[in-house]
Amino acid sequence: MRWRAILLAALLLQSEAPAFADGGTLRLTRAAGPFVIALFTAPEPLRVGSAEVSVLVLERGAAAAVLLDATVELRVRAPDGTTRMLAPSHAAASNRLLQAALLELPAPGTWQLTIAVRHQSDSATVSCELPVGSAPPPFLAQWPPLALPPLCILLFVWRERLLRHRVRRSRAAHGSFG
Amino acid sequence: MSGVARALLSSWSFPPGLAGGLVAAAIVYTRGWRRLRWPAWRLYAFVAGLGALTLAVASPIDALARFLLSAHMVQHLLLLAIAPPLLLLGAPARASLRGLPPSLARELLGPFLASPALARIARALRRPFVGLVVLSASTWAWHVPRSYELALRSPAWHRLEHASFFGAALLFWWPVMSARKPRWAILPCLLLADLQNSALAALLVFSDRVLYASYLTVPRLFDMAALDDQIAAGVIMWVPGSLVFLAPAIVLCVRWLSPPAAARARPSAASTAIMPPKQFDLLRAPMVGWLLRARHGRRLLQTASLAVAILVIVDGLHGPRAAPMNLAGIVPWIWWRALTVVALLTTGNFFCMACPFTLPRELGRRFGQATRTWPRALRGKWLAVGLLAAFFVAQEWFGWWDSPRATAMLVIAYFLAAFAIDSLVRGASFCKYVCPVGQLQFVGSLLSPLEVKVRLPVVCADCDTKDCLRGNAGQRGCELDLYLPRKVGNLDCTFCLDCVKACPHDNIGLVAVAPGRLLMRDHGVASLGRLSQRLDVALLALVVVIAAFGTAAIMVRSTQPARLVLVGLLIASALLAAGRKALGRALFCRLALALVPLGMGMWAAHLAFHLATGWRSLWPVVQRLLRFGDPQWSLACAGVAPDRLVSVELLLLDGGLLASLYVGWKIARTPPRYLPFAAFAAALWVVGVWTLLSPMQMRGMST
Repeated sequence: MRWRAILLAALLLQSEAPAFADGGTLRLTRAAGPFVIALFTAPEPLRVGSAEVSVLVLERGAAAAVLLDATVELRVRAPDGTTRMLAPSHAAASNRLLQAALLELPAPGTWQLTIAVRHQSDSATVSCELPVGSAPPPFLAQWPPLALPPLCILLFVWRERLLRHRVRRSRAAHGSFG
Repeated sequence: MSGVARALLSSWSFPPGLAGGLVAAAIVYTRGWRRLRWPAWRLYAFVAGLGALTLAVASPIDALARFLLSAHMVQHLLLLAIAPPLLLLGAPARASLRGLPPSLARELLGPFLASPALARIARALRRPFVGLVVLSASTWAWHVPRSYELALRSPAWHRLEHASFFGAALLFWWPVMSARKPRWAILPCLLLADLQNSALAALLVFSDRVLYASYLTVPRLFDMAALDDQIAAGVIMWVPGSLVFLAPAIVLCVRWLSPPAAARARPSAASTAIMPPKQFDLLRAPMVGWLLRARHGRRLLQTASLAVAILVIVDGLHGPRAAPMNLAGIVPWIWWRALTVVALLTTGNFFCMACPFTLPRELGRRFGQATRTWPRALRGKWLAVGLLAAFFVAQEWFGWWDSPRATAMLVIAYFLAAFAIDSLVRGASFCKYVCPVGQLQFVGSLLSPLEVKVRLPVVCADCDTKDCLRGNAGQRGCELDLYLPRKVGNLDCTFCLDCVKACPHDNIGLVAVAPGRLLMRDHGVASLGRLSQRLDVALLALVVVIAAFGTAAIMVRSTQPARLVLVGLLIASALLAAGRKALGRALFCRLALALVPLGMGMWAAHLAFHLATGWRSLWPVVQRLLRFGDPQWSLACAGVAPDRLVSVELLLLDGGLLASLYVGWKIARTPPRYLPFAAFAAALWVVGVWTLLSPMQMRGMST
């Protein structure tokens, strides 16, 4: 019983971890001003729904040190022209070298993303396009939990057949002795 | 420590599936290890293996693997050559089988483990050369640049890559760790594994170009060029990678070439005897057990819930009319409903234990003239069926969830009804025959893992005072007429623990049982008789199940399909009535109860949604009531549902369906009797899936 409690606690105490553990697909790596800015997105391909956007800021030059204290702002422009600002953070990223934010993509199309980086007295901006596809049908997006009952049923049917064979073998064995 | 190092060291991520799986594996293994009384080193090896697995996929190594091939190689080394042998040293198969509940292991796994065909396949797979071929094929296939790049681009393929490495490694290391025959084959397999590993490593080390283009485009960390990184990866694969194959080869050589050691004394049968599993008893748990057994322990819980109920009434009558801003809109409909279902499925009927309506009942008994007995004609669950169905219909029809005032009036009506009935009628008639909420609790508690139960039946056999039922000078007995030696399951049990306090032999506990065990056998249940003969109990269960789907379906935003679904549910109810005629009373009643897991799965999924999207709304209401701080009413708006919420909801529904199908099969046993039931359960599941995947109205929340 206490094991159930431990298991439940372990599941409930899951932090608000980002959905995608490794930052996702590298979208661009660009030198801009004194920085090298890398953008990662997940999932791949991007679809209507939630997406994680992660930014890595490095110092441009041989050392290429990671600038953890750089301030990053994201400006997202939807296909219909509406814009939103996002403030990614290290806390939201599973890889704390990156700064991540959750981006809601309510419509398909080509979205524009502008990344503005500031560090001490330096600043730079890069832009890119994010192609967003239509959302998959909900039952496709949730196929793992939907596939579970048929899979378990198949395994159970198999189990019943094995049980029947075992009973028949046992009867045959007893019959041969009898 | 530099900022970068600190950031890296804090880059841990635990996907819920992984975390849950690791914890479950550790729990099951540890239980089995304890029962088998194995030496400690086995446990340490297994836990170290789990630790290595965690390091591979959840630690900062995983975060770095995106940028550095050398970090990725460390990850693969952990998956291929560190975690599997450590896990296998713990002999996990036998321990895990012992660690599972015996009935589960026997019922679900037994036929597979006893199958000669599967045993032949397992024997073939455990041959050393088979493991070598699979390991080599997996390693080389995934290191082909195209495959490697695919895994880097796609999380799903990446997980598949890791899973195949881990699975192949388990196959390879199993004969090595268990020194399976033919033993002579193990040594050449280890050497050949090292050879193929070294060949691949040499390719990485001596190549003059970067093999995996992704590492050319990704930002370079730590001032390490891509080619240097590849060489480092090759060295990691070569040197430590070779050691993990050569070290056991050397150990095995030394062991085989050494003179045989004197035979160790075999452990005595007593010391190898498997420990019988101890029955968990919550009443013997520290602190919690003390509180529950204490004379006023239950009173304390009831007082706390009474205080909350009074606050709900006061705020419902005098507070804001908007449900998201009112305690009466949030506590009963978002928090209380969800927490009672969680309690029912994880522990037991703690709502009835802490029921606030017990206190007006006590007042009624004290000041009333409770000399009458409950009318014989109403001594069944028919009244409860009608009241519960009416409750669910009225809740939706009148929109109680959206009206704090109506909710407050409902709670007041409940208090008055409890007071009135118990002031006129003896026994716990309100609980047993009337209370709609209680009936829902009783049905849900059929799945509870805790049961008020006799500890040692032999003690009750010698007891002729029957204090648990009749009471004694210091304590009343069970008001619901449940005689403990004959009590099976939680139906009609309010967890009042009067029987526990009355028992002079301290022979009643709150004991862990297999959830749903009452559903599979046609027991005679104390005070209810055989459930196969109780059509009223069966209909009560059906009301709970159908209401689970109906109340959720009605929330779907596009109401036209929701109406169709409701009509469908009504048609289903009519079909059930026809089914009752066709199947016969006994089978119909038992199969109706078999649907309870599915219904409770749907309740859990539905109420989890409300709790996950509305839990934050309590805080500003508390701030308003206590007049401190500046309530942020934006929290009363429906929160964004967590990404994984729909998956969790579907898994809860799936669990309910599978449990219902299993119980139904155990009851029906033949396809002609089973298939109509299975079809009905599957149809309900489809309705549930459609409901959970549809956009919901955010009831009780601002949108």
